[in-house]
Amino acid sequence: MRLTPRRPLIRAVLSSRFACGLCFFLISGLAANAQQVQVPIAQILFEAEANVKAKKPGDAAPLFDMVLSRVDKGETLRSGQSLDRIEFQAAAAFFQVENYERAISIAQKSLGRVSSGTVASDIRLVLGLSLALQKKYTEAVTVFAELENSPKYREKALLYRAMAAQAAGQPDVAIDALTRTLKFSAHNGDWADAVLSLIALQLQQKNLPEARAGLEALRGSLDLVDNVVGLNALSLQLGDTLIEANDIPGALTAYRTVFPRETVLSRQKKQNARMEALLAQRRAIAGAGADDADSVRRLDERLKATKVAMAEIEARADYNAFLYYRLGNAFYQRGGTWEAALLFERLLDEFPICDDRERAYLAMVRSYAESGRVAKMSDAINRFARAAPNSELLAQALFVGAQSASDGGRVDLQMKFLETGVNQFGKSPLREFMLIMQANAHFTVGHFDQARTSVENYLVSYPEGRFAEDALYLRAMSSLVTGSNKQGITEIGEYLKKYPEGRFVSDARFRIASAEFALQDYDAASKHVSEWLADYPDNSQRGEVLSLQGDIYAGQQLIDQAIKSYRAALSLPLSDDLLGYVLDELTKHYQARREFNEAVLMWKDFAREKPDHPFVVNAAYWIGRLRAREGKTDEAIAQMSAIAIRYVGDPSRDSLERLLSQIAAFVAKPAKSNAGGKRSPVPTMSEVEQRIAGLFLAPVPTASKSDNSNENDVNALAKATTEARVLFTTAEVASFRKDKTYRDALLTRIAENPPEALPPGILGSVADLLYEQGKVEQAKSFYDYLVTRYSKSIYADFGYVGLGEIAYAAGNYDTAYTQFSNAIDRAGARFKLMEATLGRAKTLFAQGKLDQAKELFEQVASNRQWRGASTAQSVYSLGAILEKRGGSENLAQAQAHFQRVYLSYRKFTPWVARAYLSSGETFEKLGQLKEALATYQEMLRDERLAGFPETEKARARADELAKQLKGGSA
Amino acid sequence: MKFFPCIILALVCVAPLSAQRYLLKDGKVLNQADVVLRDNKLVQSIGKAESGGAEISYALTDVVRLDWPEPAEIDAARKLLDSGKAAEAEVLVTPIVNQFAIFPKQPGSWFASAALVRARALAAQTKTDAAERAAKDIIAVSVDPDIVGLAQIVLAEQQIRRGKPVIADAMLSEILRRHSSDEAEARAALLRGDLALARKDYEAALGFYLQIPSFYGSLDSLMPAALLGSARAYRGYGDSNKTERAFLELMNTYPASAEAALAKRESGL
Repeated sequence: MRLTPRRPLIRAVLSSRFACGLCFFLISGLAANAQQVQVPIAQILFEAEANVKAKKPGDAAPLFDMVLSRVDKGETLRSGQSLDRIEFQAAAAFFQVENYERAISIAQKSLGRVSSGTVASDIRLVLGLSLALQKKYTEAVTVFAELENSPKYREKALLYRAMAAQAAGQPDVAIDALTRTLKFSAHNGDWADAVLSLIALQLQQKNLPEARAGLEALRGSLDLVDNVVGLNALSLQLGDTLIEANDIPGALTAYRTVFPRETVLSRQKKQNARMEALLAQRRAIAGAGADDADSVRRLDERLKATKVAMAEIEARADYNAFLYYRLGNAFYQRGGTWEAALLFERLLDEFPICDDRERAYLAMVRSYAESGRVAKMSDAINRFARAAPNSELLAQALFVGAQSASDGGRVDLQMKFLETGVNQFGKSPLREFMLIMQANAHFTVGHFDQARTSVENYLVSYPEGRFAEDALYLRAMSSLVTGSNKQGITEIGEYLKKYPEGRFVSDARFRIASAEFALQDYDAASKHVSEWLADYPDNSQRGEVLSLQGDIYAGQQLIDQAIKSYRAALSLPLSDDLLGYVLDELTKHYQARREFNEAVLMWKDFAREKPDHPFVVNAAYWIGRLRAREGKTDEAIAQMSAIAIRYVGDPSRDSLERLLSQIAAFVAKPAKSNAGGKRSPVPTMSEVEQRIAGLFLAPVPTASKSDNSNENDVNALAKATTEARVLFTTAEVASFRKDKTYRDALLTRIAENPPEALPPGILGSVADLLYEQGKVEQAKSFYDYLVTRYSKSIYADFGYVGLGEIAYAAGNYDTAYTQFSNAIDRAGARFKLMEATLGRAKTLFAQGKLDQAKELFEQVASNRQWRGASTAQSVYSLGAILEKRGGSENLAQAQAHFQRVYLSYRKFTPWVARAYLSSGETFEKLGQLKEALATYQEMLRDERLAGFPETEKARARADELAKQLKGGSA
Repeated sequence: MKFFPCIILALVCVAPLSAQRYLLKDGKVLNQADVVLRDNKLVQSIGKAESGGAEISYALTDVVRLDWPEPAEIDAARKLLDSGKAAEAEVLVTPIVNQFAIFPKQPGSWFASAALVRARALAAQTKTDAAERAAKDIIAVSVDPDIVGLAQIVLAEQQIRRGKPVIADAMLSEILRRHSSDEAEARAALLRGDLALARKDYEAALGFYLQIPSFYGSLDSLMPAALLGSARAYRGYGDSNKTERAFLELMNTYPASAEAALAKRESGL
């Protein structure tokens, strides 16, 4: 409703039809007789305002113009009517009909007369916006700057000024305006949009820290962002720029703000629906103000722009691949190799044929390699090779893989990758690196012939290559270690001739002396060693050379000089291996000369000078043994335990168990009671237990309890470790006395401790017992802890074999084989070589790999040191392999194996039972039913086999055969 | 690839719709300020009471949609929850749950969102039964699949609390099969990380926890839990450098989170 009841007459003349007519009349200029019928200015103004209210700016604008024209010609306005106000309305109307030129002209004229006040601000807004829409941005910036003085428009003025400045190429002005806007703006959609614009500007100006700070501020309020596609685009752009600027954390923050394709589309769709509703609402309620009109126009533009952007994203099916690659790369560069691997995995899983595929494969291999996940890395290389076998990047992946496999102790994989790399990528610049690495790898694992082949290949391909010196020297070393000492000496000579100032000269001269020593040419060796010692007084290898000198003197039976050289070597830096060797050699010579005290003093000195050295436990061991050789068992126990007690609470000291076993051996025996050598009675287990506890268990004073809970935890753990070691030592005594029940009872008590409290040597024994007792889960947790926490321990093979047995029992043969192999390849199988070999053999058999299984079973069966149940099992299994192959000849040979088991290995009843049954069955297969029956009957007569399931089967077969044979003879 | 920077420049003022209105099935719109809730009805007064004004009642079932901005208490409660103040979050959000409980299913109602925050607050206080009831209430009434998925995750979490990891894992698989919102996927990954950590499968645990920074980097509120989980898993895996780094990142980047306090205690840093 436009009219009030007080003006009924005017209502009548202001129908829309009349208004249009009036408008036409006024504009057409046909009113030649206008002077005669001139409409009062107030009425025109009233009609113009009515059109504004009716949202007909097109009708209002000429009316306002008419009013202004008549005022210009001298007509006066009625009192209460303000020219400023009319000018504002006129400018706004022209703005709305997009006649910006006229709007500008009216506004400028008005502001020339009145430059302050509310109406002036209104007009200034129209002027600024009109100028901006006429692309007169510089002028618009000035107008908006003036408008900032208006409290009513200050916020909008800043925003529009920023936009205009940006368009005018004045980014600093725009940044300043936006920064000031954000200071007082509430956190809402406007704020989020302003932040986005500011980030874009900062990015454009290369103000990267500011751009990054802006994005970080926005990250906490992502839900406020209407322009989600814009945010995505900006974040990606910022991420790329920050990566180039090497600001990796910043790039990561930027990329992590990017939504994946489905998410960005879904979010933008929701925001668009919201904006569309708002647009409709705005259109419905929009007033005559220029800012309202501009807001509607821009909102409309925004919607259109986001729809176009959405369509582009929808068309990019590989949008996420693009994002994942960038994120993965940023994580990788920041050291987040696990995250990078996840991203590259997903990229290749979801986009197996994308542009970044080969780069992603290489990056994934690197990510796995650097996080030490060798198995995953190997799998990634295999997938890469299948997906892109000729990719140049595959050579890089193989090289990275070889390095990583070497670091992870997987020489098998290292060799595999290098072989593929060297053979498949003959033209790759990496081949030279791979060849020398291959030679070194072969040499390291003792494949000296292959090392030599690789070196020779290298020297043929790269005679003057960057590793030619290394190759030449490695060739000589390969000869030496294979025992070709003369050839080695010749090749070292060639090396010295070509590289007289080379990196390996001092070592080469030492190796010549070593080779001469091996050839028992002691004079030449002695001469070269002396020359070496004179020429290299400060060389780090001097201790090693002195040790060789000791060996040479010992070879010449010059023991005094040998001892002198060894002692001199001891005073210099030596590797642990060599240190152990020199100490052992000295101990051996002192023992041979019955100079036990000298040896004891040497070990005591060592223990005193290097109290934290791992060999201190060896020192205790030798001191004990040497004192025992002197008949001083009690003193030996005292001195050994005095050293052992230092480490008894530390589970990581894995060599202590050897010492404890030695102490147990001494404690188990009765002490000599007097000078006459009469032995005291054998101590009871109770006495033994008490004595061992007395050696290691000191009462813990209450006052020592700390307030710090961590410290208390550590103390509790050390106490548990100590108690476990006391029980273990006692169990060793029980073991020496063949009291398995008592031993097992003690180990069961140890098993009550958490694995963290147990040293590796004890963990292995306890886990074995738990497995034997059928407590598989607990055993597995102990084995797991052993191989993860103490993978480098000499007892780690207990863990691998145990895990192999558990996997084998569960039918997981691949895992079982890997674990049994780990026991040998990773842990060196110091204690469990037989079990690991047998484990591998039986796993291969279960997998149907009969040839490989046979080879290993033969290895076990022929090893004299392993005679026992393992031999019985191996012989039986060899028979089973033959039986499986079938055919009369194989069956006959199988029969021989089974018979050998029940005749020669009768002690091992489980295998005897199996062998009897298999023997009977084989006779049946061969058609020798009488022999089969006799075999079954013989088995049934053996009372020891009564409880075995095989016996029941044999009984059933015997009954059946007896009936058959009886029927046949009848 | 070109990424439409022009869109950024098209700055526009988009003010939020901030009305609080009930939309009835006959098209009528009632402003919240003009009505009161009485006897399960919306009651509008007509005229002034002293001059004998009248009242019009509208049945709640006539309300077909709410036009309402998100109550600030919901976000505030979320923030309290993130900083480990679950009891306070519960107190703050419960009135909002009650306020919208009379319109649980109507579009625009904030019932499900508020109830989800409350369910999480209950779960965080280990009020397992109450959390389960709250989650089931949401599942029963909400038509938003994302919120239903998140409520089901709260249920799965309670199964873990009850020592039933296998059931929890099966529930998570089913949830992910049906719902694929980022938040549901991310929260499921966190719970699966917890399950793997509990069974000492550290590599698998890392594979789950690290999905959060890798794929759901915009969900900042889940980062503290992901970082804490990954630090623990790295420790179990035996990587002390990465353990320390994860703890430090958690303490430095999210110092106010409940997880940061745990990290400080566990790491000794």
